[in-house]
Amino acid sequence: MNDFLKYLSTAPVLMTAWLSITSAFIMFINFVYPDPLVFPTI
Amino acid sequence: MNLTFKSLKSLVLGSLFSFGIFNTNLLTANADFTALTPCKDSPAFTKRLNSSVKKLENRLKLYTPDSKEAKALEKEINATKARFDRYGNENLLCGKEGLPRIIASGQWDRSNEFVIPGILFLYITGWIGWVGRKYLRYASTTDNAFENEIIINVPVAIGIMNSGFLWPIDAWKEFTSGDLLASDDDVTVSPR
Repeated sequence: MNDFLKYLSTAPVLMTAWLSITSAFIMFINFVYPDPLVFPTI
Repeated sequence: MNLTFKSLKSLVLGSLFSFGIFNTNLLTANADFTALTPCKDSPAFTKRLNSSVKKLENRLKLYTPDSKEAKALEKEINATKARFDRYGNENLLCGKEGLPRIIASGQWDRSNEFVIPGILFLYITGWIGWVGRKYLRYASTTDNAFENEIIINVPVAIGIMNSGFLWPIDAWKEFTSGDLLASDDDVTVSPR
């Protein structure tokens, strides 16, 4: 188990996971607030 | 140029000071923008909206109502109308071809177009860079620095990532205490 967790902590695995999370987050923000051009004025 | 920490500090502080002194009498420059019209008053902008909606409505005619494709097209028509509506309401300026412009002159009444997104961008990228540097400095103190750079210590990394929100203050504290920059003695130079 420890070896498996160590494998998951390697740079390529973490980068894949982290960039997947980041891109999913950005896609979600664009789904909820589409077509942003400028910072919204309140 | 051989910059020591002391000369770099005086250069930064000196330029900030002179910038403040020489800019206090200037009025804010608000350019005239006579070639641009507000998008909500621009006939070309309205024409673009109408032609986009027309194209989508023509495609909508090819499908039976309430089908999956028709619903998707209706959603796109609504999104197009909402987008043009929002760009018009946000007081953007359009050219004569009907496309909005970002005014990046830094004037305060149009700060939401460039200044605020720019500062937000710098804050986010600074956060990323600062916590990355902090983790590398932590890794260099461990027994196996090389391994800790390629097999990340995830609990430590997450802790460091969460601490990055005050990075401008941390960076300034490190700059003033001399910890931000390496001394000239640590920087290798090719033989002269």
